[in-house]
Amino acid sequence: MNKHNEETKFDDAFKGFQSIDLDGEDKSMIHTKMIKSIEKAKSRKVKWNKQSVLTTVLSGILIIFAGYFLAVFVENDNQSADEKVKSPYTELEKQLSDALKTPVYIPYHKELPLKMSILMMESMIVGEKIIERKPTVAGLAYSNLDADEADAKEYEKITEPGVKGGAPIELLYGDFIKNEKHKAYIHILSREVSTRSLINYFLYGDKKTIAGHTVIYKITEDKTGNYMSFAFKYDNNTVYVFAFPLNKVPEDFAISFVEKSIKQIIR
Amino acid sequence: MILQKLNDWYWSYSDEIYRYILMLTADHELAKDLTHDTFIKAYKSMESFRGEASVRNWLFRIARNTTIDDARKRKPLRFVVDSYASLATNDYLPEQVTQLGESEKELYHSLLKLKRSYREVIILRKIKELTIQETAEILDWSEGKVKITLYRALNALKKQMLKEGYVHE
Repeated sequence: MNKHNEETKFDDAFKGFQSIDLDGEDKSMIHTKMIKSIEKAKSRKVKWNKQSVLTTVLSGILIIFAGYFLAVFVENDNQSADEKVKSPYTELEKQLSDALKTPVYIPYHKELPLKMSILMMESMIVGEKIIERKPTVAGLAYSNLDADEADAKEYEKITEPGVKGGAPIELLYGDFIKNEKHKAYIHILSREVSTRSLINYFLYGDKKTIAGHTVIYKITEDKTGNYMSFAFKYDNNTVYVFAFPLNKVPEDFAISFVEKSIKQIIR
Repeated sequence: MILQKLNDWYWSYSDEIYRYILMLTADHELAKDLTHDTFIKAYKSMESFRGEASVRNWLFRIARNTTIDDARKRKPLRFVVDSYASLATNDYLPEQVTQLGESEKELYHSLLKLKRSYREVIILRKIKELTIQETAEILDWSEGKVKITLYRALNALKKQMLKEGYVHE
């Protein structure tokens, strides 16, 4: 078939889809459901208004306490916007907490957005069968760069399974972006699921104090370059390791990122 | 007043929105639910609509986000797989498509096996026949990205159809 005929055939088939419509019954049913949903939402508002007298009384009582809370708020007002913000990643935090079997907090950085979250997976494969599969480490990549075709290809290469379902990583959030694009990366390790030797590896190094907490600083090597890493032991179970490409990120930026993150994590 | 506007929008655009969602999800019941959710979201955010885009494109954008959110909620991992690879295991085609004819069935079957960004750009440009600018608006891409991705998507679709034996070299 020549190219022109082929494209015409494609275009005809594409146009064919334009005739798909909702049938009259479905269309009316969705409309009725839509109106009911709106009325239900409105009636909830009305019910709320009936309680306004009680609300007013309660408001009076609350005002007494407001001064106290205002004082606390003013005291904390010196914190930066990043430290005060409530994590926008609640759903992801829940997923990571479940996977790592420990509570996980994901730091938010206004100027450097979270672009990707992955779980490193360990699979026990016998023959062509996966006997056991579990997460070992969570990863959060922060970057100002977006994913592109090259990243998608890299991801396909990484996850192309020898055995179906046995990929070494699972992407939970965002699009996959290659290491070279990460400006900051956080590994989250948990004693419940991560190997002890890996945790100990990160916790061995020079001590520094950041945000009033001891962190372990070291230079680590990776095939994509050298990284400075700061390991923060949140509790006996969880360790956050902040990694930054040595040739791209100045140390003062890295320290500021770690400081803001720790303040959010311990909150 | 707001409800009247919503009603107008619903009767004018619900077919198009449903069709768009059906093409993305390949599931009639889900497409109906998400069409409902799209209009509810439009109702709730009607005040923020400033007319920068046309109502139709604004609704498409809400529909797209609603579909993506739903996929993330239902199967976070599947969403990721869907983003990068294919729906290879899904050979189910909605009745609305199978009724159209053999060429449409084959084309849709191959379309479903493309990654999501390719499916989206083909649906908007070739099926909905939106302009490059409108497509860029809905997908929140640059116009250049729309052009490049469409070119790649159509090549990938052709390859997929060859692979399936629907067309020949």
